[in-house]
Amino acid sequence: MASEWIVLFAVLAPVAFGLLTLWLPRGWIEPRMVLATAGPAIAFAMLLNTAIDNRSALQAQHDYAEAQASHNDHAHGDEHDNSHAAEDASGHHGHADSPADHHSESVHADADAPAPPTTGVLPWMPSLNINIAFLTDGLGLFFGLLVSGIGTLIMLYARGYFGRAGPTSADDLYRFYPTLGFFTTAMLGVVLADYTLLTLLFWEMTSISSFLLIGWDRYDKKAVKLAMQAFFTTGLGGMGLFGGVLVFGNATGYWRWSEMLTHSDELTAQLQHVGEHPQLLWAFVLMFIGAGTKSAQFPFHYWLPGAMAAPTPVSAFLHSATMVKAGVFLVGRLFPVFAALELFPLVIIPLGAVTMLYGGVVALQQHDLKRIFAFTTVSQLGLLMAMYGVGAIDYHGQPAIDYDVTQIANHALYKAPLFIAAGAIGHVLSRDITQLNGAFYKHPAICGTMMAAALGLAALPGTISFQAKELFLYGVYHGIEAGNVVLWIVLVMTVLTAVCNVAICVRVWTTLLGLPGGMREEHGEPDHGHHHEHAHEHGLLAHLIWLPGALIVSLQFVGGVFPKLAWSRMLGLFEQPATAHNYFASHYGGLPNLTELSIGTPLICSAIAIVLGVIVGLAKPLRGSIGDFADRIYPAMYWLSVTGGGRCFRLIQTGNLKHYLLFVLGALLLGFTWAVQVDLADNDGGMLAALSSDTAGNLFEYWPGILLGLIVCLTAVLIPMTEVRIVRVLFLGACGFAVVGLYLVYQAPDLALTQLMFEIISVILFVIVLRLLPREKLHTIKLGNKAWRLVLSCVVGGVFGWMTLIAASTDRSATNPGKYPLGKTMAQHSYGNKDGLDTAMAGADGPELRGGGGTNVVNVILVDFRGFDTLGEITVLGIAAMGVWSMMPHRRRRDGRTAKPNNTEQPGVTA
Amino acid sequence: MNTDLIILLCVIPLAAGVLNVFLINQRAASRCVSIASFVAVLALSMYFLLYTAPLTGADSVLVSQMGGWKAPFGITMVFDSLSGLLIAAAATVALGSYIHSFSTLDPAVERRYYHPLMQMLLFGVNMSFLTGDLFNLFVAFEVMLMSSYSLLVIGTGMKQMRQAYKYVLLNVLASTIFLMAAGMVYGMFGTLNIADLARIVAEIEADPARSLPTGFTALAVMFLLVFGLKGAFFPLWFWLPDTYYTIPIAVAGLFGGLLTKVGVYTVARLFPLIFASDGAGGISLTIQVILVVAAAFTMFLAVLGAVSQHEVRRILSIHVISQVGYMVFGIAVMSGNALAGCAFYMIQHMVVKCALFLCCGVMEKHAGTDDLDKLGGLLKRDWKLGVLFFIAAMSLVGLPPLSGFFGKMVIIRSGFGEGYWYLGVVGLVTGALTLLSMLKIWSYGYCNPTPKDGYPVQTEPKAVIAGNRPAYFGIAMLVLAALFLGFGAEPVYTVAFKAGEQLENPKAYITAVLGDEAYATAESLAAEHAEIQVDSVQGSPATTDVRTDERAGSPVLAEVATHAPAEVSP
Repeated sequence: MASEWIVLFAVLAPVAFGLLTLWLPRGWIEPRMVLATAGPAIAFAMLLNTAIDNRSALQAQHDYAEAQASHNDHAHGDEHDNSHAAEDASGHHGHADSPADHHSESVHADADAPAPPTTGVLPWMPSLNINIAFLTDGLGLFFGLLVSGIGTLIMLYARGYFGRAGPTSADDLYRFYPTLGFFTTAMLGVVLADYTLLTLLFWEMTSISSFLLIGWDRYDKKAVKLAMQAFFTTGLGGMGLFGGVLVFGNATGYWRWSEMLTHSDELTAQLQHVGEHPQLLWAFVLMFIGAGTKSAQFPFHYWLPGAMAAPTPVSAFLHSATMVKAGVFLVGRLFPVFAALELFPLVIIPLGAVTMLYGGVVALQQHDLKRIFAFTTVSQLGLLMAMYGVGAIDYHGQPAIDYDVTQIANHALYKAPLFIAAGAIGHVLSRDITQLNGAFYKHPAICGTMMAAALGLAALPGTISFQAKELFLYGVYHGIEAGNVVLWIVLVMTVLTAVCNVAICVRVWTTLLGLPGGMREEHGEPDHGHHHEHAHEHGLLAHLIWLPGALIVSLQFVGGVFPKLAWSRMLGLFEQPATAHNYFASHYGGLPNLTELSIGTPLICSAIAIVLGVIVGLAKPLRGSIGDFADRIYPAMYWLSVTGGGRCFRLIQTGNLKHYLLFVLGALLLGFTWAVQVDLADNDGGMLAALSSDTAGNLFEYWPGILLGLIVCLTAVLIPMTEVRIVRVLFLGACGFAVVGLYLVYQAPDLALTQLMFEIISVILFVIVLRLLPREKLHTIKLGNKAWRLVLSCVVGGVFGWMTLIAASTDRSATNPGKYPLGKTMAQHSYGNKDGLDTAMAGADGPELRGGGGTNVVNVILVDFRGFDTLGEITVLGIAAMGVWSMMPHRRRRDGRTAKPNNTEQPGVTA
Repeated sequence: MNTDLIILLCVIPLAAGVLNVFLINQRAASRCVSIASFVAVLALSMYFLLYTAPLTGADSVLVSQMGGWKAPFGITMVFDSLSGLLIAAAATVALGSYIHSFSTLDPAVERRYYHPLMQMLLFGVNMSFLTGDLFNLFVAFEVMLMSSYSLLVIGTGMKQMRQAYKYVLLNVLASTIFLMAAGMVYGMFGTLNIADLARIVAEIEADPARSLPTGFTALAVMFLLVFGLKGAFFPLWFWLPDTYYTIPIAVAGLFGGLLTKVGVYTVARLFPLIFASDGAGGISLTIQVILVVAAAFTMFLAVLGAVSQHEVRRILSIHVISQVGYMVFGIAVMSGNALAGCAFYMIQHMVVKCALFLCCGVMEKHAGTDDLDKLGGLLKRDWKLGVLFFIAAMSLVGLPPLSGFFGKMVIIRSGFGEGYWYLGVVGLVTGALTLLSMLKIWSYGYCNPTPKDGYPVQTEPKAVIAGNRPAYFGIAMLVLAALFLGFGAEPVYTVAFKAGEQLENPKAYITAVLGDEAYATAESLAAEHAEIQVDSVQGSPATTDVRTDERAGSPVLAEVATHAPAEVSP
C-alpha cells in the first residue's frame, strides 16, 4: 500500500510550510499566503494520490480474487460496484498471521474481516508501542482529504479575513499561518495514524492548537477564558481517551487500529460476552468520553459555542468542518468492532439524539450568526453520533449503517461555507442577524454564499444534505422496523431538529433579502458582535473572503443534483466496508434524489419538517434570545475544583505547625497501630510478646537505669512548661547529663565521654547566647487545654521505646546467621598487623591484608571502616557553619566590603 | 573500567564546594568552578550510563567499596541505572538553576556561601543516590538537608525564616526517626548494607522454616514515614508548599526539582528491595495498601490545592506534591514497568518543574510579583518566555509528545494492567486538573490584558530581557532537556526499563555488591557448621578477609569457609 514516508510527508507538510512562512518578512503577505496554502494543498494531492493508488491496488486484487473465485466457485458471481467489490477483495490481502485468515477458508469472502490498508512502520518508540505508521482506509483518507482540502481553502480565506490594510493584519497572519498549519498537521495525524497512541498524540495536539486559536485575541479576558474552557473540557476528554487506549491495549495487546480491525471477529465475540471482559467495556466508555467531549456532545457541548471567540477562519475550519468531527471519527473507527457491544447504541443514540435536538432548539434562539451556526453544529454532531448508534442496530442481520462518510462530508460542505460567509458579513456589516435586514443587496456575493449554504442546512432537495438526512431517517426507520419501538422518539426528535434547521434557513433568507418576516432589530439592543477594524479591500484578493465558501458549497449542489456522480467519483470511494452491504442501495436502488424519490415514512417526515420549519421560521414569538444553561457547567466545575478543592486542601494545609506535627505523628501512630494489627494476625502477636520478654524483664531489674530514665523523661516534660529561658537550658542540660549517666550505667564509656563533652559545651554556649537575646515572655504549655499534646508525645515516645525493645531483643543469629557478624569482625580487624591476632589473619590472606591499624574499635570504625560517614558528618558541620554565617543579618557594610565576623559563628549551636 | 571512579560523582561537587569556600569573594572564579563541577558530574554520569547500557546482570551495576572494605563491613557506593538517571537529571537541574541564578540572585546573597552550598547540596543528593548503606544514606540526607536549611535562610527575610523553621523542624523530626529506625534495622539484622539486608530478607522469605523478625512491618512503616516526609507524600507534605514560596527563585527551582525526588528515590530503592519485596506476604500487602492510599491522595488532594492558588510559586510548589503522587503510584504498583515509569517520571519532573520555577523567576523580574491577580499580558512583553513556559507547562500536564506523557503513560498503563484501575482513574483526573492549573497561569499571567495601573514594579521589557540573559539560558537548557525527554523517550526509557528491571529483580544488585554466588555458598557452609561461628575475638579461627579483592574477593571467602572446619577441629 502507500508508503509511510509519503503519508508522513503529507501529514507534516502543513506545519512545515507554516513554519517556513515565519522566515518571510512580515510585510510579505501574498507570498506568505501562497507558501502557507502550499502545505495543505500538497497534503491533499499526496493523499488523493494515495487514495487512487489504494483503489487501483484493491481493484487489481479484486480482479485476481474474482478470477480465483470464479475458478473455485462458479456460484460466486454477485454484482458489485467498484468500491464495493474492492472492499470485499481486500479480505484476501492481509497479514499472514491474522485470525481473519483462519476463518476465511470456510467462510464466504464477504464475511472476512478485510485487512485494513496500512503503511509500513517507522520505528519511533517501539518499547512504548508508539511508532509511525498510517492507516489509509476509506474513513481515514476521507477525513484526510477533507482536512487538507478545506485547510487549503481556509488558508486562502484567512488572507481575505485578516485583510491587508489593518494595523495588525500582518502580525495576525504572521502568527496565524504556522498555528493553522500546526492544527492541520495534528488533525491529519489523528485521522491517519495507525498506532492508537499516535492518534492520541495528535488528538492532544489538536486540543492545543484549538486552545491557541480560540484564545487568538490574547489580551481579551473573555476570549482567554473561553479558550481555557474549551481546552479543559477537551483535555478532560483527552484523558478519557488516553485511559481508554491504555485499557484497550492492556486488555487485548493491540496498539494499532489496524490490528483491532483485523481481529474484529475475535473482539466481537468477546464484546458479545462483555461480562467476562469488563476491560473492553471500560475501554469503550473511556474512549467515548474522549469522543463525546471532543465532538461536543450534551452536556459537554458548551465549549463549542464558546469557541466562537476564535477568528472565523478557525471557526469554519476547526469548530465546524474538522476538529469537532474527531470524536465522530473516533466512533467511526471503533464502530466496526465495538458496534457488537450491547451498550454501544444504548449510550450513543440517546446522547446523540438529545444533543441533536438541544442544539437545534438553542440555535433557533440565537441572534449572533456564529452562535446560531455553532449550535447547529452541535446539533449536527449529535446527529452524526446517533447515526453510528443507529448503525449498530441489526437490520436483517446486517448493521443498519449507510453512507456514514456521506453524512460527515455533508455537514462539512455546508457548515464551513456558512461560517465563512458569517465571518465575511461580520467583517463588512455585523454578525447580529437582526442588523442584517436586506444585506443581500449590499453584499450579494457574501450573502448569496450564505443563503446557498443555508439551503444545505435546511436539507432541501437538491443538496447532498437532503440525501444525508433521508439516509439518517431511513436508518432510524429501519431500526424501528427491526423492532426497536423506542426509536420512534428519535424519529420525532430528528424531525423537530430538521424543523429548527429549516426555520433558521427561512430566517436567513427572509432577513438577508429584506422580505417581510425577516429579522429586524427590535429592542434596539447594542450589537455585541465584533467590530473589526479592517478596511475594505478591492481587487481579486478581496474576494477571497467569500470565494472559498462558494467553492465548497457548490459541491453540495453538484452532489445533490447528480447523486450518482457524487457516489461514484466522490464520496462512495471512502465508504466503510460495512456499507458494502448497503441495503439502501439494494432496496431502493440508489441514493434518494429528486428524480428517484421513493415515497415512504422518511420522505413524509422530511416534508413535514420543511412545512413546519417554514412556519416556525416566520413565527415571531419564537425569536427571543435565550442562553444555554450548559454555559454554567464549566464555571461550576471551575468553582468546584478551585474553591471547593482549595477548601479541601486547606483542611490539612492549615499553616499551623502544631497541626502539621499532629498529622505527621498521627500518621505514624496510625501506621504503627496497623502494623501491630498485621503482626497480631500473622505472627501471633510477637510485638506484644516482646513487651513481656526476658529482655524487657531484665531491663527493669536494673534500677539505676530506670531511675536515670525517669529523670530524662521528667526533665523533658518540664522543659516546655517553664517560663524562664535559663531554666529551660538547665533542664535540657539535666536531661543530657542523665543520658550520660545511662551510657555509663550500660557500659559505654566512650559514648558517655562524647555526650558529656557535648552537653557541657552546649549548655555553656546557650547560657552565653541567651544573655544576648531580648527578654520576652516565652510560650509555655499549660497542661489543661493542651493535654493532648502531652499525651501524643508520650504515646509516640512509647512507640519508639517499644520498637527499640523489639529490635534489641531480636535474636540476630536467627535473622542473620552469617559467619561473620559485623561487630565482631570489625573488632577483629581493627588492629592491623601488629599483634598475634593479625599474624593469623595475614597467614590466611597473605601480605595484602591490612587491618584498621588502631587499638580502639570505635575509632577505627569512625575513621576507617566507616570513614566515609565521618567525612559526610564533618561536611555537615562545615555546611552548618556556612549556614549560620549566611543567616546573620547585616554582616556587610554598604560599600560591599567585608566586615570582620565576630566569634559567634559556632557550628555547635546548630549541630 | 575501574568502578571506583563512580565516587567521583560525590567527590567532584565536594571538592568544588570546598574550593568555592576559598573563592567566596571571587564571583567569576567560583561560578566557573561550580559550572565545571556540574558539567563534570553530568558528563560522568552520562558516561557511566552509556558504559553500563550494553551490560547485563551484575556487571551493569557499578560498585565501589569505600576504603576497600568488603561489603557489608564497609560502606558501599552503588551505581545502577536508576542512580545514574537521577544523578544526570540532578546535575542538569542544578546547572540550569545555577546559571539562572546569575541574573536572578541578589549579589549580596550570592556572597553568603551560595556557591559552596549549591555544591554541597549536589554532593548530598548524589551521595543519597549512590549509597548502598542505610546509615550512609542518613549521612547523605544530613548533608543534603543541612545545605538545604542553609540555602533556605540565605538572604534572611523574616517570612523566609518563619517558613524555614517549619521545614527544619519537620525534617529534623524525620531525621530523628530515620536514625532510630536505622538503629532498629541493625538491631534486627546486624547489618546496614542495603544489599545485605535484601539478601537476608530474601533468604528468610525463601525458607519456610524461618520468619522475618518481629516488628518488621512496623519498621517498614517507620521508614515509609521518614521517606514519605522527605518525599512529600500524602499526610506528610506540610513542609513543602510554604517553604518554596519565600526563597530565591533559583533555589526554589532546584529544591522543587531535587528534594522530594530523593525521598521518592529512597522508597523506590528500599521498598522493592527490602521492605515490600515479593513473597513477603502480609508485609508487602500492608505497605502496598499504604502506598496506594498515599498515591491517590497525594495526586488528587494536592492538585486541588494547586489549582486553587493564586500565586504562581504556590501553584508550582503544590504541584510538586501532586506529581510526587504519580511516582508513588508507580512504586505502589511495584512491577518492573511501573518502577521504570516512576524513574522516568522522576527525571522528567525534575527537569520540567525546575524549568517552570525558573520561568516564574523571570515573570517576577518583569512584574515584581507572582500574584496572578496582578499579572497579565506578559506575552506582549516577552513572547519567548511564553513559549518556554508553555512547553514546560504542557510537559508537566503530560500532553504528548512532551515528556510528562511518557512517564505518566507507563505508570498508568501498568496501573491498569496490574489491577490498580482506581489509581489510574485518579491519575487521569489529576492530569486534567493539572491542565487547568497550568492554563490558569498561562491565561492570567501571559494572556489577558496588562493590568490598568501596571505591575507592582514598573520595568522596561527590553531591559529585563537584556538583564536576564543567563536566566533565559538556564530555562532554555532545561526546556531543551525536557523536549529531548519527550521526543527521545525511547533511549531514555531503554535505561529506565533497565532500572525498573534492576529494582524488580534485585539479584543483580545484591550480587554486584556482595560478590557473586560464592558469598551465598560461604553462607550456607557457615550455617552447616554453626559451631565454628566466631564466638570471641581470641578464639576465632575464621581468618576472614573483609577486604575486597578486585579480582577474586569472594572466592577467598569460599576458600576460607571450606578450609575453616579443618583448622578448627582441635
